[in-house]
Amino acid sequence: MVKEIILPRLDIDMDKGMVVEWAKKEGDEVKEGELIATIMSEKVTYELHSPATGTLYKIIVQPNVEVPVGQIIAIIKEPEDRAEDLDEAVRRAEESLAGVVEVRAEAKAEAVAEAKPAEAKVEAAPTGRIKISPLARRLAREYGIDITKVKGTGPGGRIVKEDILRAVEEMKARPPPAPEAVEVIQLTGIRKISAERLAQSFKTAPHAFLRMDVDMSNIVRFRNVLEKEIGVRPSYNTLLIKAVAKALRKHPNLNATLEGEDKVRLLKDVNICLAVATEEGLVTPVVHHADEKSIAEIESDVRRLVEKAREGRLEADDLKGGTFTITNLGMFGVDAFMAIINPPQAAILAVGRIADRVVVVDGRMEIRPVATLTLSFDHRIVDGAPAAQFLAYVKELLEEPARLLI
Amino acid sequence: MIEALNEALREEMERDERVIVLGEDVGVLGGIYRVTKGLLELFGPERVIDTPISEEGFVGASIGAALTGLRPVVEIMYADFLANCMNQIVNFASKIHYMTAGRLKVPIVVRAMVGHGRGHGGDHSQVPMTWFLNIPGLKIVSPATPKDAKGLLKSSIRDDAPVLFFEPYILYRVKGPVPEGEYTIPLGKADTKRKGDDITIVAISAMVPRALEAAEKLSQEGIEAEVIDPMTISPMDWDAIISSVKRTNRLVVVEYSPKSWGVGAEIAARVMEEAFDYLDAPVARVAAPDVPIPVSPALGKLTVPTAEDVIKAVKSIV
Repeated sequence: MVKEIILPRLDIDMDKGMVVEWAKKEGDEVKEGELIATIMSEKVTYELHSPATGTLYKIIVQPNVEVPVGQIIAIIKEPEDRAEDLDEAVRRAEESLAGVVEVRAEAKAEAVAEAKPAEAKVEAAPTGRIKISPLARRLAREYGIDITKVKGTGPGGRIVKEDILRAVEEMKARPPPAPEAVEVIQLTGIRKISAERLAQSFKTAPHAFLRMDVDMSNIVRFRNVLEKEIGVRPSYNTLLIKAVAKALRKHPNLNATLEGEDKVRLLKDVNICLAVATEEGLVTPVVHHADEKSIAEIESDVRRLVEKAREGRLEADDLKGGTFTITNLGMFGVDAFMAIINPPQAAILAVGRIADRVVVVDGRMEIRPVATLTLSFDHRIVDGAPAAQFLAYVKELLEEPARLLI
Repeated sequence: MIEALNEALREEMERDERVIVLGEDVGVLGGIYRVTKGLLELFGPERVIDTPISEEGFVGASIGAALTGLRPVVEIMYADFLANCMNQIVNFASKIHYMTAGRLKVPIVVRAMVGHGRGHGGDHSQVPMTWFLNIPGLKIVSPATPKDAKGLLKSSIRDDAPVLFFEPYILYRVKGPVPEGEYTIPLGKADTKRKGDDITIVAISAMVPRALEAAEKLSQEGIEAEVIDPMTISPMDWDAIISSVKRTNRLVVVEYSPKSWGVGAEIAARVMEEAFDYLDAPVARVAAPDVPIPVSPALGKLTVPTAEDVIKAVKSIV
């Protein structure tokens, strides 16, 4: 069994350390318990003793190289060890070291790159203390000048007012560095279109927002009942589409679009878009005639559309004719959010997660599953009061889901 | 300046019959430097009194006279002789107003001539205003021009507190404009003798003309110095100094007392307390060295700061 010596943890918050000195050379004989190396953490120095009797076969980590705790720093050969096992152990140890040292080299290169402009300008005092007048120090603080990067021109290299004012001028002349990008992504396809449409919507449609909490206790139970009836447990999105479609029938002024600047067109069909996140970006496939469909039909549409969306197989017809959009970020743990209207529609419903919350029922506190709905609507098309009536009706339907069946 | 001082005394004696003058040789001789010339003839021996050579005696007598309601102006001749009457000034004149809860006042003026700079020897050349500067209850005044001398002396005579009035011998013969007619210069207010934005020079007493000379030379090199003459050293016009330093960010103090524990030390400390964040350089002090003043004129000269010394100090921190 090949004996590996690792860098031990010397104190509780030590995560790296180094060998200060090897007491033995490669090939030297070592006895168990004999001093083999001096190692150190940031805080303490420690004498490392050999865990076995044999020869110091290979020193993996040279002195003064910082390595993480647990790194193999040397291999001890015991008499019975086979050569290939030893070489395999050395190979693995060197491989793990390579990863660590490479990272360090990179970090160091970065540090050097950062330090360079400073080095060029600072005339470091031999003591490392920065000589600066009180006034210059105050000005530097006020202007946010890093005094370690200012060259002092006063007596003995003291940084004086003039030096700070010059640095301020230089700072003003230099444009602020742009945040460095890791990668530049060209917006194409869906991303490009949605960027344009969302910008246009948010700029032109005056958004107003209404928020309501909905007690989801019954809808949770309702899903289980439906599962018995139709074989699958319909998704919350299906039930939301059903409720919204029914509510739009009753409040058609939200199932509308603006024509020109002075006409509101109330739409005949109720076609509900469901926002679906895909790798290509956000898409909003449409459940057509949602108001005329049963829950089972909507559920089947939703499943089909979501699957097609995820696979990037949506067809033009799947994306056309939407009159209202539902967007749900509940699965990401979002409590509530305000969505941007999907133009040229009149409104969008943003659905948060269903979470147990304390609600007051008949003067008592109860824990109920609650979801927050936020309706964004185009205030040119509809006013706050009718929008509120619509939202309240959606809430009623979700709280008494039996009404969805009528 | 002698004439201006003489005018101040004459006018105040005319204005207020309670004002009396006493001291060694102030009457018949008219003062060794003629500051009190002609007063005996004008106001008579009851108000212009030649005293024996006993500073403690006649300063004590003046304090007594002040307590009865007179306003004595005492001449001490060389300021070094203030040591002889220090007890009267420090323990009586400065304390009586306070110790009688304000019921009694000691409105005396002690005029003392500072002989430094003329080879008069170690006991006739001291600039002893610093001896008295940490005695609350005293006012300490020292003019640098004839105009200031007259206006400040008149204010000192009218002030109800005991005033030590230091007259620099080296400026006695200096001529300068003095306004016609009645005027006074308030105590406790500094005079900015020259405007400048690059450095503040606070110059005390006879150092004012030298600081101004330095400022003119510095101006030719593009350094504009502001020269402040506090005129009243206690109470000091801190506002004037602090606000100037906040603008120029640099300060040199010029005095001709010994450097250690001097006026410059106090001003530097105060500026650090109140304007530290405005200082762009350490405060520099120009002062006499910490030595007894030699009688040799050649050596004595080395102990009085010059315009060149001021220029050097300014350049060390600009």
